[in-house]
Amino acid sequence: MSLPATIPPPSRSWKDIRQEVSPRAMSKEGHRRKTLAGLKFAGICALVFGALTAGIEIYLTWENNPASIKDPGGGVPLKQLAFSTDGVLDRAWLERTLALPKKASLMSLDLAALEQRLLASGQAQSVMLRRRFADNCLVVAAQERVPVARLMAQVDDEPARLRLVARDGTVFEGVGYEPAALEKLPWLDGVHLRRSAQHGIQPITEMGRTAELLQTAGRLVPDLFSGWQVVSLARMDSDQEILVHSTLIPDIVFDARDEFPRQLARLDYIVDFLRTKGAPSLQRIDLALGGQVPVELQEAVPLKPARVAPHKTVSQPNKQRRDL
Amino acid sequence: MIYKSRLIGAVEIGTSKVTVLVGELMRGRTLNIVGLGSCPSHGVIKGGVVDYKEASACTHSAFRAAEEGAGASVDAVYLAQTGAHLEGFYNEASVSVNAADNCVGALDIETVCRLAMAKELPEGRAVVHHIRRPFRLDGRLVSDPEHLVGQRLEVGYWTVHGSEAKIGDHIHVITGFNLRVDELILSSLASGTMVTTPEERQNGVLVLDIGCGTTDYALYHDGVAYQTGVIPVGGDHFTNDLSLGLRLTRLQAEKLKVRYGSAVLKSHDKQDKVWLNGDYSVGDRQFTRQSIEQITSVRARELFDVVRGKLGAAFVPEQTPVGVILTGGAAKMPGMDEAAGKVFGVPGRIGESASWVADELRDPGYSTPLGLLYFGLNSQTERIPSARRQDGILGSLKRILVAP
Repeated sequence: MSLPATIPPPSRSWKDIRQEVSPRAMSKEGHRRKTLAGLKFAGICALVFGALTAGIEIYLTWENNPASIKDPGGGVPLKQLAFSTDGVLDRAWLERTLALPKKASLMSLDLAALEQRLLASGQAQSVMLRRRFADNCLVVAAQERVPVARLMAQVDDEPARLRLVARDGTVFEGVGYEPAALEKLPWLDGVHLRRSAQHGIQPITEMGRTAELLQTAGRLVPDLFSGWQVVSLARMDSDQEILVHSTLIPDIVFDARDEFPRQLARLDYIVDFLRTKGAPSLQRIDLALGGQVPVELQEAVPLKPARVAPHKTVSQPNKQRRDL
Repeated sequence: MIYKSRLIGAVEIGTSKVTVLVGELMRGRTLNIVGLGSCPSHGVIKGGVVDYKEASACTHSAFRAAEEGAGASVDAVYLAQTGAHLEGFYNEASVSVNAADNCVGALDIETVCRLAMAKELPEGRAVVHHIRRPFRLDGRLVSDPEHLVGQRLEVGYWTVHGSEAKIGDHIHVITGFNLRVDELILSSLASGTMVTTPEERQNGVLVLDIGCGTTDYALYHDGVAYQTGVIPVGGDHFTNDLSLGLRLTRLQAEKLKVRYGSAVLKSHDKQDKVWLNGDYSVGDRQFTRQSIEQITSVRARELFDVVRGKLGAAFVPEQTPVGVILTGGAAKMPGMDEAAGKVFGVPGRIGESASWVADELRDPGYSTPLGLLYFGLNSQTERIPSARRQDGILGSLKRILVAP
């Protein structure tokens, strides 16, 4: 159905009046608005054009070489490594551990995998990696574990090698340490080492109190501590005792449940006391018996009467012992 | 769901001032007034642009102020149109219902509407509004005849048209600000919609918008504007009369009009005098209050007489029970409602904006720009019922907001 043909066309409406004005008829503000509107339109056009171009580019790349989408910076190789640490690890270790391909590009690097690779050594406690695009640089910042003891361990068929033990029980091959510094660390004995999945050694769980003892001794009685050669955890599980073999005293027994500063103070007192009595050779001091501290001498020496601190007791053993 | 808001600028380029209101249309339903700009008008006489640059400068200044207040740019403009060049005529048409069962169809409605609107205009004239009156089906009034049964369908349109050049001047003032005019609305319809309720328009009411240079009027019956018009007499004529009658400058006459002018003669004491300035300065003079009131009341009576004469037989006091509602800046003169009531023989009162209008916009001078926003969103006057669904997004918006 349609309208009858006899109806005349509608009259001219105000909407038929041309709304455009010549630029000369526009005010300054009108020109400014027109310019802004033009710029806005151009900006939107540019945005749409850019988005379309990018879309087409991505589509074509996806069609021809999908792999290159994952590595858009593939053409720009990694130029340098920037390494910083709070310990002794060096750039050579970093390069050796990362083992990056020669022509690796910055964008192709799997930072998460590289981080795991660096942490696997055990010496690095935390690692932060980031890309610096300004100079195509991979920035690595590491925080290292501090060793408190050392041990010799053999994994699989490899020959036994020196390993270091950190406060948290992590066992790692120390890299970059001065041999003299390592010589000062006591040996760890009497621990059950377990292999980890990555051909390493699982952390030593009993290390927490032991590390505390070593740290406290190093701080409070550095002279005595310097002579500590072996720290044994053989009786840790059964008796909660830590046995220390030192150059001055072959056997010192600490109670892991008691406070170490008090035990160390007693030890220091006893050694000083005996020194005033002619410094007899000591065989064993057992600090794990509370108020009673049995001191075992290598040779029987008659003691001169002396004032003894009221909270400490020094008992003279009636027999000599040579070994543990 | 994200709803887009739209900023609409309602512009009234008057003889005394240019007013721009910015309304934010939220979710297509809520209208918030967010910006107001006003500037003394230059280059406009009796609603017509006589100096394009001056008129543009003050309009754009008002626009800037309104947009700064709103904090955003206007998207669309509703422009008020007034001036003595605007005229109107009534034309009606009738068709025989086409269907065999005499059920009125959409094509019958469209045909009769197009026939009623199809009247040729003289050269240089353009239609501003086609205001449809209710349909008549076999002589009975119906608002929507579709699917009703009858033999003869009639409809009439009140067509408002104006000088294409003068309308173009107004539009170009807006487009010179790099904006487009979306709706051109007669001032009297805008203010009339604002100061009357649908019930009042249904019962019959006459609205007079007395501006500075012109007076716009709209006579409502059965919910629609039956007749509209503009006379080139406004508040300026009161000032002019005082200036001539009392031998004063226009500025002095304006001052006296605002202070002591009255549309009815209240003072009968010839000794009741008022000072021109009241500060005993050189040139300060006394006038009797009676002489001022005589001049202004005569002019007021003449103004209402002219309107009544223009309305002619269309105005029947019995069919206008609500009376005369006055708005516009000059309506603030004391006694205007009383004078109008005497001339038209119906109650007269000053129009008040709806309760939702903010206090600072309740002045009668803002009724037109407020009405532009309100009317522009609710207007259905020009729409052919059967073609309702073809008029775009704004039409859909208006359908949602259509007043009962």
